Amino acid sequence: MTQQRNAPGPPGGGPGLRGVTVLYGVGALVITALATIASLVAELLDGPGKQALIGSAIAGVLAGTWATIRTLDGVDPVRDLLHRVPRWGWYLIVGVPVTLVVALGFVVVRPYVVPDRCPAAVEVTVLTPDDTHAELAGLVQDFADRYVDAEGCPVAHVTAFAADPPTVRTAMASGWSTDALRDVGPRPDVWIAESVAQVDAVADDAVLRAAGGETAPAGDTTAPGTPTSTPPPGTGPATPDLLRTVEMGSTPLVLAVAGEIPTAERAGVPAPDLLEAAAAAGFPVVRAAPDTSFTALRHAEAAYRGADAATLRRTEQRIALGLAATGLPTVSDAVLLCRLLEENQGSDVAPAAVLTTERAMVMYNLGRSCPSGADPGDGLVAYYPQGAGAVAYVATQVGWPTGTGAHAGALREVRSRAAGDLLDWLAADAQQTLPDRLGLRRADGSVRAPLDAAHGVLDQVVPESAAPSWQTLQGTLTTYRDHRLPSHVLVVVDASGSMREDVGATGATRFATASLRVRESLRLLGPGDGFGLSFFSGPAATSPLAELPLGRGWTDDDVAGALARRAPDGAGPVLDTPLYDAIADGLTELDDRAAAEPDALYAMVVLTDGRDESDTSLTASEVAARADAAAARVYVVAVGEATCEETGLDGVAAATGGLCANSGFDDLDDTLTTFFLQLWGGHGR
Amino acid sequence: MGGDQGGRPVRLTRRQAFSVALGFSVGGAAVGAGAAGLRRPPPAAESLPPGERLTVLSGRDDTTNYQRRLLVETWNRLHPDRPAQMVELSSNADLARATLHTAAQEQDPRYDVYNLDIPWIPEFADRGYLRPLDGVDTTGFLAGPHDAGVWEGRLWALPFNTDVGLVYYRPDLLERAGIPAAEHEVALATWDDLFAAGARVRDAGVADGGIALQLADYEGFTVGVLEILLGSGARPVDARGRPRVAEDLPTGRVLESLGNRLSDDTVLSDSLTFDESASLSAFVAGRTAFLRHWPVAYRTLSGVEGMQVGVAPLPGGGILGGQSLAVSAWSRYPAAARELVEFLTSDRSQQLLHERGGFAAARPEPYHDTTGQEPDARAPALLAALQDAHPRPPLVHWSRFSDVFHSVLHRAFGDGRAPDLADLQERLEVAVTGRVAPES
Repeated sequence: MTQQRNAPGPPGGGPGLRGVTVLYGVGALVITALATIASLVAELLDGPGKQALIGSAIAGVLAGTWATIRTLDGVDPVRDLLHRVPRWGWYLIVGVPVTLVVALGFVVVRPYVVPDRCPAAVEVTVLTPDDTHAELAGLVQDFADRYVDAEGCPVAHVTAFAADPPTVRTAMASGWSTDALRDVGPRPDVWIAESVAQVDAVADDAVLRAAGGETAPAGDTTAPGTPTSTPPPGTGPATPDLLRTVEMGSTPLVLAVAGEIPTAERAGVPAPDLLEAAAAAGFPVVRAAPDTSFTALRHAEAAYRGADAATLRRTEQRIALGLAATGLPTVSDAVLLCRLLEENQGSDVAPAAVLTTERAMVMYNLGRSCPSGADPGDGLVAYYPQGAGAVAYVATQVGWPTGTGAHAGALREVRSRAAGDLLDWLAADAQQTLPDRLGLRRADGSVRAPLDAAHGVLDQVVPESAAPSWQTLQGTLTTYRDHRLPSHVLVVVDASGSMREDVGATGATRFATASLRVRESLRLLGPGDGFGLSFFSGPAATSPLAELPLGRGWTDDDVAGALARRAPDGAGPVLDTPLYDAIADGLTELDDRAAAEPDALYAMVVLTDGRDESDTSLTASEVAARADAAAARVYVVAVGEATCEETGLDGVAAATGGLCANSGFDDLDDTLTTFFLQLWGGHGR
Repeated sequence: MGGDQGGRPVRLTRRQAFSVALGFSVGGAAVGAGAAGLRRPPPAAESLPPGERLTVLSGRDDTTNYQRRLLVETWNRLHPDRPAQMVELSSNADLARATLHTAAQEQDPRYDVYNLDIPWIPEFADRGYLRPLDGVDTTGFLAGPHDAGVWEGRLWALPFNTDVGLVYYRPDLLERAGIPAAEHEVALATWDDLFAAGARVRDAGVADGGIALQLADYEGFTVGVLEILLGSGARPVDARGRPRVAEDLPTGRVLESLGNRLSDDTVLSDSLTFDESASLSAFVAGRTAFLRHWPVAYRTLSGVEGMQVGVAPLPGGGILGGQSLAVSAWSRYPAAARELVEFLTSDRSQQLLHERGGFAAARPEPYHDTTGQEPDARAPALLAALQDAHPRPPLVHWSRFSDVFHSVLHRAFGDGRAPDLADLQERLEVAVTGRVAPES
């Protein structure tokens, strides 16, 4: 090239070598300048402007380069030189610099245009039982943190959520409908259950459903006129595919007592006898509601096994009296023990004997029953009822239909592999941490600290491993509902002006929606249970209005008529909300009734959409003090703009061992069902 | 084009000149075509086949009387050829995100519009789950909520509702601590002023502590501490999302100060266990004179019998929250979906969601227009707070960043020791890439 650069200009009138150099240089400068300007302008733009300029700059550079080459091709010495280059030489001349430039550009530019970020991890959802949600959520997060690729990037993003057993079965039976998506959570890829019986029930429901038979009672979840969203095509019910189940660990059923029962051995005593002995020793015996707590249902099954009707009734009466004496909540084992721990704060002895699990007792003794932690005092000691067995946790991989196509198929495979790996991890690697993290005995039955005498455990007790079938447990539930103490519930409904408002675009008023839900609740009423209906609105002196006095035998027509009579008049004046006065008066009515009929349970369910606005000076704290001394539990549903915190009714409910729940109108049915299941036990279900 | 060699003019042949002209013509045509693309109108909205609906995948409609559903019903009346519906997910953000993310990962064409919490927008945009909203009319949105929908220079989502931290205070407690009403505004000017006023309240024995924050070991901790840092002039994360907690001197100073104030209850030490609900209860119970909380708390606080409450923007600005609507990259009807997004975020929709649904609007008009409504006492403070709000750090892996940020600092504050900022920096640098940070 050097030789040629020094060679004289060609004959024939073409540009000389200097001219070619200048031409090439000017062309390169123009191209560079254009590309630079275009890229600078592109930086100032967003969206299609940026794309268009970058594209145009590239096209311009290519076109200009081509023009320059064409120009050079017209210069004789260069053309001669170019024509002497063999074909492979062209590959080298073009290929090597291009490869080098591209490689260099990639190395230099990559950090700026391709940030160092992990690719999206596949979503894996894990459904856990209510009672162990916090611990299991932490455990599966450990798996997610360890489940990384060679670059250290997570392969799966794991989300854990909880639901109680009846909710899970209903959601599964519905094919995880859009209602379940909203009210429960996403479709689970892994389901951790408290018994293989729960898994069998869902599997049998699916078989029945496929055959067109009846499945788990899903209930009517949609009030007429309630705004709903129609499932889009393909998002409707889908049958879950229960792919694989592994054992995780187990925990024996126990009666956890704050001290010693002098007349009972620590193991081998039949449950009814053990409860009597505990009561005789001065311990009120408590248990969560079998309708909503699987642990409670298993205890009921153990206590009922082989017992006659009188024993059953006595057992349930013993528990009902214990709950009435302590005011402990019954919605779940975890909630009950948390409240017990909170109330025991600062004292040495817990005020009750609890039918629970060994793991829940150990968590209590470690002060971990409540998220905030608390001092358990002297703690609880486990008594192991004869033949009670154990709650055995299992993890099941669940498959759901997904879209078709290569991408959906590949993603399904990745998710399935991640879910399967989680199951393997739970059955193997996680076993080491189960005793400490969850208080569970390992799947091989071994017992490790903190499952030891220091935490109330008898480690030599080996519970029966066989779990009752779901059909047996269903029978237990029926037996429970037939033998528990009657429960009298006074329902107090807000009929103030705000209840005239429409719910969404439905045309149904708040009062009409609430009325429907109250009527639906009556299906849970047992034959011995009582029901009353009052309304509050207007001046406190004339409120509440008792439309149906507390009693038995009210029919759906009676209730519908009462609700229709007290529906707030859309044309009338907007009436006040004497909320506190209504609760205080209702508690008095229930106290009077309790004095007349002591062998029954009493509760009030308040449904309101507003804060107290009335002509009385009664405050929330005064009502709470009144409720603390009442015979009845108070359950409150705050809907619409009302909240438990704002109305102060969370404190009122807590004082009685009841509950206050903030609810929307579209899940009012779920909220009321949860309450009435605890109160009436769901006879009609 | 020309040149010379030794004084001899350079002349191009006709062919050469033609080649040059052709080359630059092609380039020019490409530029012209690109420019024409800028002016290309958006495609017309598709009509849907009978039985099909545009589907919005969204967290539960918690608005009063389901105003979001009412908006969809209104759309359906106005657009019978492209009706829409909402498929509602859990009101728990993590559970809603899991379903949204699964739908996007599966490239599910049945969902057309996603309602995204604003921290998720970078991730969804970066993964290619969304269609850009190029050319959409964004006139009238507040800058912060609008910019939350922008990622890498393009608009991906429009604000549905917005949110920002506010400071609530109890004038009666401040006055009992010797801070008269005339000085309340001064007491809220900077975080140092607020902490000083809180210390006076504590010292006077009027309350257990100065201010209640949400500093339990969860995302609320991250938001709360970032608000104090940004409001105090610190910059713990740069504009490109790179953590610089160890390099930024004000960050170290503010974190050390916050630790000290937790120790002496200027910031109520129980804040380390507080979420939104617990901090609200502590404030209502009179345990502090100040509370950092969201606009939604105003309704509860103003309804508490016998309690006076004031509200103001956070010193130096809060951190923006809220939700935005985006069009799925896999929607079968992207133009109709985009039109639906524009409708749901229009000025009229914002007005309805604000007035009847209780949401903070992402446009300014609803804060001024109170026709037919009770005056909203929080409106001026809320609008000012939104205008001064800080965006969240621009991170694709916000939740992983947040997890590391709150777990490391929560542990340090809980142990009463100064945080190891070099270690935190290292772990945050790993976290923002999406990797799992090693356990400390």
